[in-house]
This record gives sequence, C-alpha cells and structure tokens, in this order.
Amino acid sequence: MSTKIIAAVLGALLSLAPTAPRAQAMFRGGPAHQGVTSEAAPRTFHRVRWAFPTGGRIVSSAVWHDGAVLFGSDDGNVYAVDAASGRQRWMAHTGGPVASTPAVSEGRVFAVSYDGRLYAFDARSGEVLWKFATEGERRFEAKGLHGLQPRSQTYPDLYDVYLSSPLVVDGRVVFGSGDGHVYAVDAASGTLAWKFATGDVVHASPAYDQGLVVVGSWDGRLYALDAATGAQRWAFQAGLDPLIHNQQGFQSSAAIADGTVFVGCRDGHLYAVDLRTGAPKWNVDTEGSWVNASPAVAQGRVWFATSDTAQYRVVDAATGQPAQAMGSTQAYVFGSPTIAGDTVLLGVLNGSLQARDRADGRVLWEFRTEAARANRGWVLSAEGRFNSGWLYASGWGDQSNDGTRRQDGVGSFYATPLVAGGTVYIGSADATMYAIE
Amino acid sequence: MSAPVHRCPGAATLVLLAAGLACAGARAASDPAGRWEGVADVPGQPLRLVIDLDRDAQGHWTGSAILPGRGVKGAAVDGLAVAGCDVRVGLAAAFPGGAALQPKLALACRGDGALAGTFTLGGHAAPVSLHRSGPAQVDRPPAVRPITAALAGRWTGRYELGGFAREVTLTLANGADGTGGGQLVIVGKRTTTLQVDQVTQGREFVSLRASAANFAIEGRFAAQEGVIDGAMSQGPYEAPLVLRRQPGQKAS
Repeated sequence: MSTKIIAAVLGALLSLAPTAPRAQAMFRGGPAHQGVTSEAAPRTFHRVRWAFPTGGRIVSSAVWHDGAVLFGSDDGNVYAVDAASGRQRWMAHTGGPVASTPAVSEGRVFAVSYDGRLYAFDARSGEVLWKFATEGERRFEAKGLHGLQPRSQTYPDLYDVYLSSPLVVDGRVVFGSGDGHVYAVDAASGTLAWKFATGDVVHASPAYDQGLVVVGSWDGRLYALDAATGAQRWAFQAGLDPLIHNQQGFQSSAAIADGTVFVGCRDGHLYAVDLRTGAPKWNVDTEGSWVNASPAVAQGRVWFATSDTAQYRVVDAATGQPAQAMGSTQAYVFGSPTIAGDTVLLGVLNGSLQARDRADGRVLWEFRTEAARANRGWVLSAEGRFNSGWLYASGWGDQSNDGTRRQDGVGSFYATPLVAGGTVYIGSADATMYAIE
Repeated sequence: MSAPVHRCPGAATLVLLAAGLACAGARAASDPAGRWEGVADVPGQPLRLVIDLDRDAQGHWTGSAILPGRGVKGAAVDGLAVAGCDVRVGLAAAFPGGAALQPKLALACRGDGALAGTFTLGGHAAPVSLHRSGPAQVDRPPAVRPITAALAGRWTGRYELGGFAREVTLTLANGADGTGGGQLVIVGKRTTTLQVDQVTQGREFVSLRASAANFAIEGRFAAQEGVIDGAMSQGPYEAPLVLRRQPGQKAS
C-alpha cells in the first residue's frame, strides 16, 4: 500500500467492483464458478421485456430454475419470478437482506441472509424447509478503514456488499459467514457436517473441484479445504494492509479450471494458484485497484475487471499475460463477467450493463438504468464516471459513508448477469430485476 | 441505450396511437385495476411507489404497495376506496409507525391515463403521479391454515438470554376462525403471558409469533418425536429453544 493510494482514498475516496453468473442454478453457473454458459446473449439491445420491482437493493445474482429466475433482495425476500411473464411465483421472507445468490438443488433453494441464517426453501412454493443459524453476520470492519477519520474509530466496510453464495456439492451446502467460518450443512436436514474457522469475515462464495472447496477470507488468505471433512489442505497468503486495511481481503470468489485457481483480491491482484498445492503460478498487478469481480475462465483465457481503475481485462490462463487490449468500463466493477457464447456481459456500478464482443472486447451495446440516465445529484460525471470529488466531501467517516451510499442512487449493477433463452436477467441497486433482450 | 419497459401494443399508426391514448385514458378512468408506478415528489427525497390494485373473488377492491429502496414489498394497503375516477389508498403498513404518520394517497385519473394527486404523510403533502405499467400483482397475505393435531396442545421448554433462564409453556389450538393460535407463558424473574397470533405450520418447519411483543419461536418440527427444535427471537436477540410436547395434552 502506498501513500499515493492513501491520498487517493482520503481525497476522492473509495472504490468498488461487483459479480456475474449464467443460466444455471448456482452462483457462477456451477461448482467451479467458471462463469461460462452455452446460452447465447443478445448481440444487440432490443428492449427491456419486463422489470420486476422489489423493496430493496438487489446485489444477488439471478439463477435459473424451472422457467423462473430466483434471486434475493435487500428487502429480505427471496423471489421466484416467472421468466416469461415477469410475474411473481412466490416470495419467501427472511430476517435480513438477502445479499447472496441462491443455489437450487433437488427441489430446494438455498440462500444466505443477513439474519445469519442459511435457508432451505421448497423450490415450487417457497415454503421454509429448514434454517441453519451461524454465529451471526457482520460486514468486514477495521479501525481507520480506508483511511477514514477519526482513525481510532472502527468502521464497517460499506463495500463489503455481498454475502457468501452457497455451493451445493455431494449433498451438502457449503457457504461462508461473517462469523469467520466456512460451513458445510447437510442439504436434506440442515444439520452441520463440518465448519472451518478462518481469521475474519468470509463473504466470498466457495468453489469446488477435485474434492477441494476453495474460498477466500477477509483475513487475506485463500483456503483449500477437504470437501468431505473441512480439513485445511493449504492456504495461500495474499497481501495485507495493517494500516488502513484497504488493500487486503478476498471479496472475489475463485474460479477453477484445469487444475488452477483464479481469484481476485482487494490487495490489487488477480492470482493464479495451483489447485493441488496452493503454490502461486502468476499474478496480475492492478496497481492497487481492487479485484472484487470473480473471474470467468474459458478456453485458456481469464476475464476480469477492476474497481477504481475500471479496467476490463483478458489474460492468458497459463501465463497471465494480456490476451486482449485492455478496455475501460468507465466506472467501478464489483460484478463478475458472464461469458455467453460470443458475448461477455458485465454489470458496472454506474448503472450500466455492458455487452462486449468476446473476441476483441469492443462494446456491442449498453443498457443504463433510468436512474443512471437521470443522474440526479450528479453522482456521475458526464462521461459516466463517479464524481468522487463531489460525492465525498471529506475523509471523515460519516460524510464519506454518505457519499458511498449515494453512489447506489444510479442503480448500480453489483450482480452478475444470468443468460437464458436469449434474455439477460440482472438485478440493480434500484431494487429492480430486469429482463433484457 | 434503453427502451421503455412497457410498450403500447398496436400503436403502429398515428391513428391507432391516438386511439390507444384515448383508450388508455378511458381505461384508467373506468377501471384502476393494474400496477401503477411513479414518484411522490417529497422535497429532497423523491419517493418511488408501486401500487397494485385489483378486485378479489368477491369483487371487492384489494391492493398492496412496494416502496423500492425502503425495504417494503407487498405491504397491504388500508382504507382502499375506489369511486369512478377517484382512488384513496392508505399506506400505514408501509412505514414504521405508519398509524401515527397516516400516509395516504388521494388520486384521480388524468387525461393521459395517469393517476395523479397527493401523497400525505405526517401532516405534509406532496404531488404524486403514477402511470400504469402492467396488470396488477397484488401480494396477498399467505393463506393461514389450521394447525394439525400433532402440533396442537401443550409444549414446554427452556431458554437462556442475557445469563438468565426462562421456562416456557406454549399452548396451541385452532380458534373459532379455524386458524392456529394460543398462549405463551414465560417464567423468568417475572411471569409474562403473550398471545400467539400467528402460527405457520409447514411440512417440516413451524413458526409462531406473538406480534404485540415482537416475540417469535421457530424450528424444525418432528411430529413423531413431539419436538420443536429451534430458537426464540425477540428483535435482534435470540437463543436456542427446544420445545417438547407434554404427554396427554394433544388437542385439536
């Protein structure tokens, strides 16, 4: 962490970046979280087919089940919405914001809520089947976080927007918790199979391959756990930032392909790590810009995006070397890219959903929320970047946090696009789930 | 790049467009059933509103409200009155302390098909305009079913909160209206008696609520074993609680 970075934090303050999945019933499309679907995305924008309003910000990504899109909302509900009509099939209430992406397996829907519970719902009716209580949710927090003042104050990280999205593998639901544990729970009964303690909040989503569960923690370590027992196989230590805690922690979820784990980190790197040993293979240095988006991996290439520097990047999976010219997303990216046929979809926090050509990265079309177009309060510059100097009056905690909250006012896309039947489904911080074709 | 979420079908020609607009205005005037979306221009804090209005099976008006960004989805409306072009809607359930704030909408149809009027809350008033965005999707309260004989009866258990133990006796039965309810007696430093006004019995899971005290019990329900294995909660506070059926107390 450099003084340059601290100055940037104190001045224009803070950064962002989100996540994106595909037409299947789990975050990032499957246990390995590769973020690739065989579904074809529209190459041109036609219209918003329907828009489904909820009561709260949507950072959860949609998943597909039986002709419906399922997702959570910060209004505390999990929704099943008919994909064709946009009408609600059912709504299931939890005790807190559902900032995680549901997973569907064998007629059950699993979702994590800010009330500190993993829920199992009946996929047809939304009826609660069981709940599993953790030791409680919380955001990542630290004294003097991001350089906020007063520095002796402990601040919750407003950019810790997601909860861990459950992984379903071998009849167990695996997820991380704000209590610092990774849990494995029997999918049928909701009873604990094992739990593993990390050093801090776990809000990344576990990935799975070859008997290993791989998940990062806000303690700055990426863990590989035995899926059957929860025993640690290895841990990879990423960067730490003991002064302002800005440049540390895994918010990005790992993707696994061909024996390699790819994962972004808030320490300003994308890492490639050997799945069996945890040995580092290569990394991409983003010069301090968070990589909160979960990478997508397909055919020897890795797609990811950055937060503050708003970079759209494609690198070679074997070497980490650029495989495509770097593009700009204009604003922070937290959501993950979805590879859908020859198109890459990416949600941006400035309220735009971008569709890019997979081969060369050029923008094919862009959808902007009504709030982004209206840009009330000049949250965005005329170029679509965040007006940081306008939003953040100072580095004092309350004023800075107010600026962070105002950013969402443009309908930020924290979620990852789902593609099914030629339609893109994505939720926005404007509390709306969109079906775009 | 964007497009309207909802398009007016059949507006292929100017003639049809004009006819369609006139038709839309007339439809709003004659039948406000549908989903209405818009904004109340509260100074400095515009309030997004989604109001669903429809008739129930008996032909009575019913409705619900969504307040995007305020965490409200499907709040029941109150005092709903529809008289020709005039619509009155109460939104007490959509705001904390709503009964005191008395949030209300007073709307009338406009020539362009919108419903427009005034949003009032806490003695203030702001202009509001809603446009029809589709068919109604009224959120109705979940159907409440009678509890089974396996759940009815007397249950006892114990929980600890804040270092103090409480003994719990729960008595459940179906009321005259056919829905489950009962009484909860909690004995700690003192004895508290609560009325259980909501009982939701699923296949494997039971939720009980004493709304007046914001007290809830929920857990896995094992009918054969006579056990409800879960937790109590009151606001943010919760504690494990296992309730066991008392022998010979089965009732219906």
